Amino acid sequence: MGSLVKFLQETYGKKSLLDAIKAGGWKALIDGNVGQTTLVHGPGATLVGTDEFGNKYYERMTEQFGRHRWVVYGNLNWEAHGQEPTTVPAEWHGWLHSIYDTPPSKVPPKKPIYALTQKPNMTGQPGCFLPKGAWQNPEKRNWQKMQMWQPPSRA
Amino acid sequence: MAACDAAGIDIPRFCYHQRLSIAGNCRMCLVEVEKSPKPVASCAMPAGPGMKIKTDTPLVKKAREGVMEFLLINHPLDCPICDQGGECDLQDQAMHFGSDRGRFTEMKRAVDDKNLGPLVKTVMTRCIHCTRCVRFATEIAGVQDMGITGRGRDSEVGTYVDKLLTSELSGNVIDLCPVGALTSKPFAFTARNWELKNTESVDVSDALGANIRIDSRGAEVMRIVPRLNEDVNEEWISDKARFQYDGLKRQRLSVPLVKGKDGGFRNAHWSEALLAIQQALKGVKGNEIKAIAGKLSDAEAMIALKDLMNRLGSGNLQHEAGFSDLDADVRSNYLMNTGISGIEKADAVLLIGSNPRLESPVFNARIRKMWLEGVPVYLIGSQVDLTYAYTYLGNSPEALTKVLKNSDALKRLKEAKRPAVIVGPGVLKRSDRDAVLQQVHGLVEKAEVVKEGWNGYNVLHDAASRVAALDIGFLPSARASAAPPAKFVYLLGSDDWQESDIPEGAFVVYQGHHGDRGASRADVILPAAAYTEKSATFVNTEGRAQRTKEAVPKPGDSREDWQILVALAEVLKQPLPYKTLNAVRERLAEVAPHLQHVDEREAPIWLNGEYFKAFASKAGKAAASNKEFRSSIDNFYMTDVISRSSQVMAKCVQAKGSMRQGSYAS
Repeated sequence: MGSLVKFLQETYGKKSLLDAIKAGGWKALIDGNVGQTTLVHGPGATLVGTDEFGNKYYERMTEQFGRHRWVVYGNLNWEAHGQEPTTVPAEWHGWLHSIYDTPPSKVPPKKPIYALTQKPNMTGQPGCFLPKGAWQNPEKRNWQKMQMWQPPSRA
Repeated sequence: MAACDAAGIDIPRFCYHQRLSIAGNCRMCLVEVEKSPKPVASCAMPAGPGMKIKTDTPLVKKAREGVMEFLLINHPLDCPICDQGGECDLQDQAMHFGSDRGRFTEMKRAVDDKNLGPLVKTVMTRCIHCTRCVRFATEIAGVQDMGITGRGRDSEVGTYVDKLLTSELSGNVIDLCPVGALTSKPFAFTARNWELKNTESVDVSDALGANIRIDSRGAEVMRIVPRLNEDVNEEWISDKARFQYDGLKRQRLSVPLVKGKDGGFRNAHWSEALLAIQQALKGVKGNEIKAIAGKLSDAEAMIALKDLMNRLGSGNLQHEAGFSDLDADVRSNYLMNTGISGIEKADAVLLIGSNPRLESPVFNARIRKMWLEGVPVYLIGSQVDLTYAYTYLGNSPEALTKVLKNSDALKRLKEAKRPAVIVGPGVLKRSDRDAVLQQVHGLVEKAEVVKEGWNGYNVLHDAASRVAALDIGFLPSARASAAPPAKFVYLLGSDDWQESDIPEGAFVVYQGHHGDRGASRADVILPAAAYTEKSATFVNTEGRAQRTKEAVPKPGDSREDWQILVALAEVLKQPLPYKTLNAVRERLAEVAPHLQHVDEREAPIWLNGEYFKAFASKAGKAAASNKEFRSSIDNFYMTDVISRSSQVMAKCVQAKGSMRQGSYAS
């Protein structure tokens, strides 16, 4: 229990258990995913690092292989953008899926010059990708195939 | 191969082309000849009597399969992104004659793309070295720009040093290329050829009337390619004809515009615009009305305008770009009497004040073809690169006089069985035209250019509408020169009028398809259809009536030219007696019967030189000034509203400018 309390306090960055529960720890009771990662797996795990989205990466080597690394999303909401797997940056993804064992928090990854910053999937939200002809697209495509003559301004 | 073609047996080929010399380097046309130990390249093998050629034996099949395999070794597998896809000889023949699998596992060769200018896109990795483009450039276009460098696997087709293809016919290498190595740059990645609608039409960029196929998708013209017509353009078209189509999408007029009191244009309905013209015509006398037809006007519109003007009491009709009062009584006086294909029979050619390379590049290729066969070419005119060698005789009417007196050239023309004299459009535009023409007529008589069964007196025009205008008599009437300054000017697609043609304060109506100089000057603008959007009659420089076809819909509110004029006549209470296109054409046939015989050339009658005498007595004795002859075209890529609106043509001008080839243009 003590480790659980410690874990929750650490997860939500609060001093007391009550504050942690208020800050969102209660979700662990109704959200299976949060419950699994925080209550079942969580206690006693080591926090390996945090990324720019606030996602926390945990590891506990006593777990079964394949379940020994997990992420607790920075945003635990259910609405759009809560618990969004595409917020995991490539370098953490590699560690999370055991592609390599050194976490990017220990050895900063080498990024090629053309690398872009991680962008979460925006589907269904403002800023999502829209084809150039989509009517929702604020940039209206010019379907006019012909350019008409503009009379010279009256001078 | 020709023998097999005549027998109706198709032999696959890449390098062989009827109009080019035989290279025999693709090896695709291998056939088995009896008593020959090896398969024979049929394109280079002359057929002999009693020769037995086998084209469907296992040996031939194996040979073709083998050749195809070799060709495909270094051909990339990019058909899905290749513009030639769907009309590619290699694709088709690989399907027919190729093997069903390849054995090639090594690396394919890669070749740098060459820069051939703004018209031809190159993907040289796709090249199969058929050398059709090289042969076209050297033999037909007459520019020694292209060639093959390297040997074997390293051979590359290209310009030797990074150089543009400086020919007005360069677009034809796109059609010649059997693969996707040379494709159209403006057309690149815009459409696939199987989604295009093909419309067979006629080009209006010069007076040759080249036969073209307009490929359109929806309301857009996607590309223009040549159509075979042995008598007109063979299978070539000029770059302007091929690439000016993007000008059809720019600077268009789509709604009638009426100039308000404040001097700005406002959109109007047709009825408003026509009523505004009616208002403007109130109190204007018949002889104060003037009409100017443009370079791209069709015969139907011109006859309707002529009828309307005559009904309004005006005979002041002009064709733009100054030959306002050329006598059009005798048709043989302003036509290419030998015919475009007939010129090839000539055995001596004299060009007077003409630069056919700019005025009609495809025709120029014909002269070059004759020159290659040994026909001497003489030139009185500006000394420019015509892609063939000529004897330069001077560049002024004085030189003409000198030739007339006594010269080798005159002797050669006289000796020739079928001499041809070609008078350029620049001559017709001169202020001292009558005097120069009299000299030319004198030369024609002295050199016996016209004789039994041969009329070598040729006039080359530079505008698509000019011959039709002369045929239907779209010319100022006898009293037109005495008319007071015009108060009302009707511009039928005319943008190259002289400043003196339109007096200050005149009410100007512009009917046309592009906003340019004419539209800027106008008080009322009536939007009309361009040549891709209407079925209209054009007469080319040899007097062949040809019809365009409607390939794409007209933009916005625009109408066909003759319809606008008929409607205007109704509003002016001077109705014209025709309401349908067929009726207009019947009227055309009344005025000029040969305009009804589409795609046929009616040889004009030569009045045994009587006309020359009449011309001389009419023009009187005038001395020719000593002004130099100039071609009527300064800038090949921008001659009319469509090409001036075209961005591709603008890029060509830029590319030519950056090359700084002083000798190129006159």
